[in-house]
Amino acid sequence: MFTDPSGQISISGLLWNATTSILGYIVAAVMSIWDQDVRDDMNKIGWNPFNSDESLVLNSTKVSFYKGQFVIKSNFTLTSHRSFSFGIMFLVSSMKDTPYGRDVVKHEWGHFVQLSFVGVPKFLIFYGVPSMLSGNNPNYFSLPWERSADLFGGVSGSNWTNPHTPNSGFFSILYLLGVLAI
Amino acid sequence: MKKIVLFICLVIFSLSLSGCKPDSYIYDGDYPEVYSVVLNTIPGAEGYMLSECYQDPRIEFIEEDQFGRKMYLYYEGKSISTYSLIIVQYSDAVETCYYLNRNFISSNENNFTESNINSFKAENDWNCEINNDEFTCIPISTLKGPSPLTYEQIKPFYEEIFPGDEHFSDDRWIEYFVSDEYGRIMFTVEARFESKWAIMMFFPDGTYDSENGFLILTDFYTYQNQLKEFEESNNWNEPLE
Repeated sequence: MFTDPSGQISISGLLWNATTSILGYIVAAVMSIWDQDVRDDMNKIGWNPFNSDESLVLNSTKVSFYKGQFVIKSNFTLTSHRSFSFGIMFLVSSMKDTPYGRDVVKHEWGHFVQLSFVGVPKFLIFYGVPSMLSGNNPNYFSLPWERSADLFGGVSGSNWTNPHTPNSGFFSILYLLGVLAI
Repeated sequence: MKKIVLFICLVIFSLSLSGCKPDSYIYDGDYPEVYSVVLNTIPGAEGYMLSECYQDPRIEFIEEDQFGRKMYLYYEGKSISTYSLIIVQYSDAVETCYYLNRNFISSNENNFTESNINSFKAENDWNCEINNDEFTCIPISTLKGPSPLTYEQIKPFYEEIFPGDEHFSDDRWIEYFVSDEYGRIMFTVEARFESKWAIMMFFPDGTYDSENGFLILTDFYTYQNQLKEFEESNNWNEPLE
């Protein structure tokens, strides 16, 4: 039901991403009627959901859009103040407009692309769970489930604690192909 | 569909339980002696990098002189002192020592020039006999201490320094910096929509000098002399009157 005719690429991810973005846009439009912060945030990106300026995302207060992905900014106490992406980009508000912060936005968008490829169930199992379990790894952004997010987002890795390890990009693509093949 | 919703709930629940929290963040890298110096001397340093998780800052050993002084690179992705070179004069398992107000230089990129590095080394007596009399020594620590003041105590001063800033209800922009031997406390704050940082000084009881007790920084890399003058004019490390 959620795969294309070849059976390789799940369309549930595309559907999920499209739905969250469209709903996010509607929610932002409605909230902007009474919420000045939301209105300012959306005016900042010219109400363009395909905004590609990471700085505008980082300088928003409550919501934004980045390359079609709906962004919510908050403290996220429930997730121990961590940013993450699951269709919607959940970005910690204290993230600053620095080269590091801009790379975080790009990386989270990379997860949006991963989700589009593999679909919701596989994303949760092969990207979400490993990501949660590997948070203390010093080479976190070189792990296969993170590295392809950097590849898709266009993150060089120079601003992370440790630069990408050699061949990590190659292995992340192999991992993605393996997940698609399952 | 029910399974997916259940799985999402599990994911969020696990995220909330896993151990990567700022309150419990402890540096477990190879250079706690450098880490301790950074937290006590570089304004705005939080001691971790925040993204999907709290990660160690980048600390790289660069060079050692013939008397055991060591130079390191420090980076945690901040807009203030983005990349810093640090010289540690001496360290053992218990304490780490440095020259106050001249133990680091900073840049927005890792592109320190040879001449900058040489003058930095000269200020830190590189390749000269160790001079214990000039040291400031602190205990080695792998976590930043808790703030001695509450946000409610800090907030009024913050509002005076950056009137109109939109995040007075939000404590995430305030960082505890350092305390002196007599209980004075410094905090750093980054203005939300301006390219400014401020250093605020409080007395041990939470009161402050609204005329002279703050320093606004617009140059985020070569402020060391400004900071030194600010500390001197506020009797930092002098007995309380």
